[in-house]
Amino acid sequence: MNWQERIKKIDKKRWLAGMAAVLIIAGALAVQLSGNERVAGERIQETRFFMDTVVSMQVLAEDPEAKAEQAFAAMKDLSDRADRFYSGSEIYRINEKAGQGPVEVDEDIFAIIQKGKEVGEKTGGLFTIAIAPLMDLWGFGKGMEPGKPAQEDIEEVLPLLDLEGITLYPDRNAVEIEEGMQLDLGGIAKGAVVDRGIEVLEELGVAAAFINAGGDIRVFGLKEDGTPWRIGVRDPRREDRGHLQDYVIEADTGSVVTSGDYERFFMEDGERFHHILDPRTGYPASGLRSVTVIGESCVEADILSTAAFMMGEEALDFLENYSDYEGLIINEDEEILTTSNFK
Amino acid sequence: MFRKLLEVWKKTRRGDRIIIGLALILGLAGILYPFLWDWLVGTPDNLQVIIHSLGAEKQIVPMGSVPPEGRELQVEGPIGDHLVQIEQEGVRVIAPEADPLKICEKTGWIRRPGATIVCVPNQLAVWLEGRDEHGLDGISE
Repeated sequence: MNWQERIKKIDKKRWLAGMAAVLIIAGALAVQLSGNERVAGERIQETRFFMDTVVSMQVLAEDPEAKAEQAFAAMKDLSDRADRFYSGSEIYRINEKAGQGPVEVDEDIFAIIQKGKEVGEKTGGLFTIAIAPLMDLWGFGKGMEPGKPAQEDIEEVLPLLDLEGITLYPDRNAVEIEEGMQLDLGGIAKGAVVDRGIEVLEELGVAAAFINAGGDIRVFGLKEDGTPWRIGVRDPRREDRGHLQDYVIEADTGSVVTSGDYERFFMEDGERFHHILDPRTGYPASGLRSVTVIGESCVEADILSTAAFMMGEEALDFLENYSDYEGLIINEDEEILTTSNFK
Repeated sequence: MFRKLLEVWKKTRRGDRIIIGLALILGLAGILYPFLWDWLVGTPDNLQVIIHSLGAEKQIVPMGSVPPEGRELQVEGPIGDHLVQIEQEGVRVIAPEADPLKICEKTGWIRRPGATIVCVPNQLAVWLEGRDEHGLDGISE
């Protein structure tokens, strides 16, 4: 009996019932396959290169490409205006006018400087946005040749790093710095730019977003399957740049920022010098391999991770003082320590 | 219950069984879809290398297209040429002599999605895109 004869033998009712069953199941399958769009639009990932780093963004929304584009444009604009090496930036203007009176800047740049000064003062000056002269002395500025400076040169620039030398005029968004001082928002701008990107995406009404600017991460919302974002923490002990397997952070809001000694460094006479400089000594901070801070604001997490990095194991006590933030440190003995509510 | 099902099954003809079989396959595919998807996109073949350099179009190299002996790409930049070495399990960058810190070269091989290599003096960035085998959206570093 051939195939056509067999089909003829199956009665019509059975055929109809069978086909209906197949259609129902196929329909259910199609709904499941297209479930992402049905729930909250489509999730896309876009990656760009600016701020001298790779910035990746995931957006879950209707028309996510256009929304990501708007967020990237706002982030790029802010990062350009905060770049001290870009002659068209507002920070460049402030530095150029050091010792010559106040310089008016845009509200958002003023807010970053104000935040940097305020939180920097709370850290006792361990985080300073006036770090530029010391960075340049060590050759960590853009396009510079790195090298260990002479002790007398270090001692000469240390007074220029004091946040007291920055005067703010909130009534007109003006900033004044003393002669010889130079601002560098490198330790704060990435966090501020990530916050700006998230702010734009929230204003655009996207359902969920994830922004990662060179390891400074901020998220909000749940993914289309209802699960939170999963963020790893770099394990500085691993040469493959892998993450700490036991410390994966799951979050539907907030930031995760890490400061580590492994990103920018040079070797001289067998000694390793990294780029996180302690404004008290003028030398690279010692005692820790990395500090990770979790909290809502990316810019504050950025400041706190840098400041905590200077403190050695006292970093944990320091971070415990900030009830909205939690921290994880890896010390030079490669032990992992966390604040009491880190999860 | 089982006996009743058996009796019903015995009454079915070949055509019925084909339809039931099809329905079961489709249903099973629906249930397994997320796991199959994870398995499919999680393979290294789905990784791709993105090379971004100043003033040039982004280059995209699927890892699956890299021959066993690897592939090398020369990327021009203001301070000299970089060599991007791509092998089936990773990618690394050799910096030009004029690069003072050679951070990109010190980064070594990158192998996981989201990992990046950046050369600031030459405005070169190389990164891997694909689905992370641990289900991570990113790594804070």
